[in-house]
Amino acid sequence: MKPAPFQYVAALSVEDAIALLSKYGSDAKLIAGGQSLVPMMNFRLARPEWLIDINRISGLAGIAQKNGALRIGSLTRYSELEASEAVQRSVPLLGLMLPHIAHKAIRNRGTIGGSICHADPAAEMPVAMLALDATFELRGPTGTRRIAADDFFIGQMTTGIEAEEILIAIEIPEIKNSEKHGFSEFARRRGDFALASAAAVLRFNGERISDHVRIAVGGLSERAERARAAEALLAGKAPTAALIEEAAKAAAAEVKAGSDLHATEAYRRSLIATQVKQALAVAVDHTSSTGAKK
Amino acid sequence: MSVKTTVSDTGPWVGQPLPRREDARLTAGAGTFTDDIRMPGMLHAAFLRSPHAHARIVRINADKARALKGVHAVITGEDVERLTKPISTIIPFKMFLPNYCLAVDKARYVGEPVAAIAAVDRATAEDAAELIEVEYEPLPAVVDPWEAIEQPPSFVFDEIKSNVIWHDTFSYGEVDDAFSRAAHVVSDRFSVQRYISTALETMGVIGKWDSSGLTLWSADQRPGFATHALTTALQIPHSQIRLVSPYIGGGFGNKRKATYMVIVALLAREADRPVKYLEDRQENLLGLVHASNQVMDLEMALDADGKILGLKLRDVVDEGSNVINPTLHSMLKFTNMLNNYTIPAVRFEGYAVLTNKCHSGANRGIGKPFMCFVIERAVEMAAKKVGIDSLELRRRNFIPASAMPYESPMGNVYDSGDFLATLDTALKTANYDDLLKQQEEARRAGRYFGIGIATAVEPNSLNLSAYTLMTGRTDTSGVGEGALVRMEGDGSVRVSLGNTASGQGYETVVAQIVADELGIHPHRVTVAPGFDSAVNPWLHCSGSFANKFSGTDVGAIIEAARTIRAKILRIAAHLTGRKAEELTIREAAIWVHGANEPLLPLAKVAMTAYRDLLRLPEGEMPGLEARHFYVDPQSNLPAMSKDDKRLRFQLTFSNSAHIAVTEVNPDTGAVKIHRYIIAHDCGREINPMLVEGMVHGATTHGIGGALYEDLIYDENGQMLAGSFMDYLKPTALDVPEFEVVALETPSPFTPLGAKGVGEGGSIPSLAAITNSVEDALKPLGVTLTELPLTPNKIWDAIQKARAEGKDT
Repeated sequence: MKPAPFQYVAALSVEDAIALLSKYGSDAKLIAGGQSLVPMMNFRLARPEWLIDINRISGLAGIAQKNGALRIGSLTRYSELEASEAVQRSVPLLGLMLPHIAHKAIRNRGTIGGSICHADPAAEMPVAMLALDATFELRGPTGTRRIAADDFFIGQMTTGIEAEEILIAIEIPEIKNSEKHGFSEFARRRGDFALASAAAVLRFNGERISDHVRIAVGGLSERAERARAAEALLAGKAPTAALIEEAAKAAAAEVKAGSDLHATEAYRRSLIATQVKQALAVAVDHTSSTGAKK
Repeated sequence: MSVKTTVSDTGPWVGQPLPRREDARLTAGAGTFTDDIRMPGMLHAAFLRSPHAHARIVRINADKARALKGVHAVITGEDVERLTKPISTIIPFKMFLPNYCLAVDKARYVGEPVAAIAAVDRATAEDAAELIEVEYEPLPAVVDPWEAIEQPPSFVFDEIKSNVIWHDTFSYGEVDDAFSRAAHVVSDRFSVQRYISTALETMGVIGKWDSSGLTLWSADQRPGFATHALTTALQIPHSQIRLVSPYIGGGFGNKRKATYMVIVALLAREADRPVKYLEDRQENLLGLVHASNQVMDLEMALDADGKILGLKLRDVVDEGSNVINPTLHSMLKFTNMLNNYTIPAVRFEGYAVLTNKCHSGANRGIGKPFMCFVIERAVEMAAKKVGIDSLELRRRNFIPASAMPYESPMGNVYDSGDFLATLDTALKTANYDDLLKQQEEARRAGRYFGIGIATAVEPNSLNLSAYTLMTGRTDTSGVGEGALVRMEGDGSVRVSLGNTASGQGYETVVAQIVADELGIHPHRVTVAPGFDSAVNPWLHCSGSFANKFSGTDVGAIIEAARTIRAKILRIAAHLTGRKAEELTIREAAIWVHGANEPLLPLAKVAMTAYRDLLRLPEGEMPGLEARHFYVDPQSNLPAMSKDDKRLRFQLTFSNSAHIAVTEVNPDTGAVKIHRYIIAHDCGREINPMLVEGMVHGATTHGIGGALYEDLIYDENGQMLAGSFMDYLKPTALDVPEFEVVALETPSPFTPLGAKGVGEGGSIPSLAAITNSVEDALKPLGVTLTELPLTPNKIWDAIQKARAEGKDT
């Protein structure tokens, strides 16, 4: 279980990384925390000819608050996010979600940008990004562009990033006064990839949910998805138990779920309903249990 | 936790919870394992393994691999057929099925080694493996064991035109009569999946040739069989093969792999360099060894009072491609099918079936976890049918303590144990009445809360005469072990064993045993941590298997120590003009019995034995070294009459009762273990701290088997759980804090009254958890007969029950 031969090169600046990407194109892979890429290389499922290390680029990691949004550098490690008061306060969803990502040792190394660009349909980060309306800042040879999370995730481990582009930062709007977050996940064991996960962001008009409803689901066949039918059901209504149940069922019915070794499609859809229901319950009543139950 | 933790400053040392002396070294990363050994010029091996479950190998072209820079040797099946003989079976079997170290004519499971490369490093060797071109002609894969018997899509070995490698019926007592008298009969089909221990250290071998022959370093736990296999395969004298086992990072029965050794020996000879091979985890999961998946049809006859009258069993063991030691699971199951009950009549029809899967083999408890699963599930079903509590049914059927020693219809002799007391201790520790109240409340609140009980025997040591009954061959019998005890001139002692320690703590417990025998402090006893066939005393049955340490191995250690003790006393008597019978040894000195002052230091006697050769008693050989080969006196020969298939298959019997308290989440099917209570009796405990560690580890193995682990194959024979992402071990977060209570009923059959404990937790845990989960789902009327209990499977069962309107 050793990787196929590859060339290693360390980029010292973003420009440097872009120049290397432009030179080697799809023969190259950026490596940040390496928590997904390295196992895939060891299994020889990923065989980049060039490995461009971006860990030494300064300024690519860090968390800043600006204009009502949190700007997170793509090289920021999960454990830095977990430890950040700004993240916990301004984006409670991330605080609820981060402990579900693998284990501490992996969170010490893995990066937010790495997870987003890897786009594993069972990973937690893309689910949170969709629910939070995150925007990704990409830079390439022709300059900088911004793309919404929902446009970025395309399919299984496929995203809208071009071969010569690098993800610079993630921008997440800070929580509003009337906004509540929830997250829930079911995995075989704590730290495993999700069989089903759900994130909820609800803004309220008094007792009623406003038009701003975001439900995102993970553990699916292709990519993390928004459950728009479920969102529509909730918009403008009071969050009764019956309504939440109905929304959870709608979410389970509308997303693309499949079968694998650990879950048949029927079981997975049932888990999706359970997790959406739980995420909504957490959002509606933040004092209730947080996160997933086994 | 019940474990005693106080250690006294004086002996007797047996029975004291001495901390493991291995731990400081191992936890600091200072142990020398196979992979830690490096040699000048050493090459690294990689194997090309079959991607097909079943395929004829049409041709192999390794030219490109051989031409790759850094590659020193490449071997394929052609070379192997030319250079070696098939590897001998561990136990000679009726029919000859060639087993080479690489696939020769066809590949028989996904992951079977097809070619091997030695190169300057492992990555280069793996690059070379990719360059080998193999033309396969895929054949239909044999996957389902019943299909393998009844409608075989193909034959795993064309030589025998069948996939049934063994089929026999063993009948004890009046079975038909028992069923004709029965008031109740319960019957069902039960199954268990493949799972395996996955030791932290994967299997590895280093091979090196020189003018004295072949030396191998390997984490092998059965050195006697390994070297025998090598001598037949490589056709070199046994005396020219030296096998060294350094530290072994967990064995559990899995680490015996002559095929790897032969491959490494061939590569090392071809390259004329030392060669190291170490499995990666994927190879370990695909191809080291699997515990068999098994299916058993049970019929249990009971009288109106719930007394078990007899069993009819039909059992199928999926051996995979195992031609090394098939029938192991079958044998260890049927001979123990009583569990801890008086069952006068048992008929067992067994099939051992070849399929296109990894070969099956030994793993912690071999077959007995499934034996216990079947019996303890059947006991629950029977209690429902008879209309009594299952605890009461157990009580009515336990072998009573007063009947010990008790001879089973199969000829096993249960040495000791009070099964009723074990069960009652578990119930008391669990506060069983309280648990029932909690359950009532939980059920009223709509929660699925279960209490599951299973009781079990844990058989110890294995009389290898048993194989005569399976194979008809009569060249292997009994069981024994070797021990070497040497007191040095300063009175300190070194010990080495034929058994290869793989994490059990032998360095600690053997020192305790020898310290007591020789009247010294355990700190003065050093136990060799590894094995060296050129140094250690060993037999072909030497090694770590079948829970044999506490009876068989201890016998060898004690006999060797007593030989030294007697010699010390003879020399001391000679030096002091006393009679040996007047003297004793304690606190590292020679004493006259009852005296207040020691007579002379032990070191004085020891020094005399090594250097003052002319002052030794006449005819006394110098030195204080004893090598003892022990035959377990409990082992016997089979009757060899056609009708008498009784034998003392296993030699002593520990026992336990497990109570699992679980809750099922009806939405997800997930099982949460709230509490796990264990009462167990392994006779006299040599070291209670180590005993409790064994109980925790073995029970965790069972939790893995019950809820998580599955070496699952698809219908084409592809293995789907090839990494720890899909092969799920229970982690520390998934295992409850065990509540363990020990009973100590000394065995009259072993030198110290001690019995085995390494496998015990593995045996009842499958049943305890399943009984608990079924009890949790009682409002739904779910019956569970297939392991593992994955959340998906439990959820399916809940949906089915609800669809049938069973929910209350």
